[in-house]
Amino acid sequence: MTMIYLYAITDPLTHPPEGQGLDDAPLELLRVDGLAAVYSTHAALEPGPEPDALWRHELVVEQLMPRGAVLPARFGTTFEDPEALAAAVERQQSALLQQLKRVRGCVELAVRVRLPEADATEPRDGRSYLDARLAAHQQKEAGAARTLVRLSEHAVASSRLERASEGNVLRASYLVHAGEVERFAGRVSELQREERELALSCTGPWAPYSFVGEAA
Amino acid sequence: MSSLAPSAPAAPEVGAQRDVALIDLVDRLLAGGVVLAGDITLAIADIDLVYVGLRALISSVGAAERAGVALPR
Amino acid sequence: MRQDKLLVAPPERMQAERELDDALSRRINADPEDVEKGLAQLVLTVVELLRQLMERQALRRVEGGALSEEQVERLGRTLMLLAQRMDELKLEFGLEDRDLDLNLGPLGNLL
Repeated sequence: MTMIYLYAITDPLTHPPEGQGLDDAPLELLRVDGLAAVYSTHAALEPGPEPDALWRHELVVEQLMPRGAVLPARFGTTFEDPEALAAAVERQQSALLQQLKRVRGCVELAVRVRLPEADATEPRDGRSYLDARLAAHQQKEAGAARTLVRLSEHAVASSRLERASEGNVLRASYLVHAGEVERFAGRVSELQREERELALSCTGPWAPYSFVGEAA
Repeated sequence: MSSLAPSAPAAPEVGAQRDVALIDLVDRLLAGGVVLAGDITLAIADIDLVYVGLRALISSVGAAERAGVALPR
Repeated sequence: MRQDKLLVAPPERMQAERELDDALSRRINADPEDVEKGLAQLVLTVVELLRQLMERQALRRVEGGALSEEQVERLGRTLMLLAQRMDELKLEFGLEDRDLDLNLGPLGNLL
């Protein structure tokens, strides 16, 4: 009983990329409707998010990026067989084409900002509880304004990642032209020098995971 | 930057670098990317099921506003 | 490839380790030995999300200035008690903040 694992949807391709997929499986190509899908076949696969598997998925995706626009699949996307994959692609063909257009020539950069810890005093009553929450929220937004928002001026698009329970770390993704990566990184370094109380990091280039989302 | 063998984290800095990059990788691969309806295996499905379930829940509550995705320029 | 993803390094080396631990652990516990804990994790994650949504909306209203002092106090007290109750529930089920922590993705906009 086999299954297939999807890495990405791309512009039309003539052959699959170099290298192997998860569990060293060979990479295969499905051509449908002006798009291509890159996948691998497995007898059994439980793609848990172990670092090695994550990096392998990303490596496959990045091999595709020099050849054209790439919509990276979410990690862990599997199908019963290529027919099921083809059907899914056909259903969302126009949205996928639009998204390819959007990300063509661009890469994603990740930025994280760590703010200083807020003072944690026990609230006496309802009012002081809200005041403390409000102050924390405002501090966070002020931090974002000084960093994330300023960086968005240098990107084609930006998207903030919210975490359910993360008081003092801000995260954002930036869609940037491939040739602009160094300049963007330089801007982050500059910001770090200006904002000494904050700890900034920037990684990439990644495939544009944050700018493809749910194919509407 | 010279490439190092993955199994030889020589200097402490190398380990830290991988950690920072790995965190950002995890954020993207598990929560981003194209979602085509397929059979998502259990190990990942738990996260995605929570996603879909929550979205349906929230929109049925009707009280949430969509703030929009892009940051202001 | 792993090594050259870092374009700008954070100044402190140590901070990444705890976050990495959290990032990789952030999966729902589907251990058959502890189904109840996995279920509690799921339920409390939803509850926590709703609690945060309510708190965020409450803050907006307080900021807006249209509430009386008494209303602010009642609202704050209720939210404070909710937060405390969540802490107790997490303790009861042996769950940490990171177990309830979702990368909210598209739902993040709601917060």
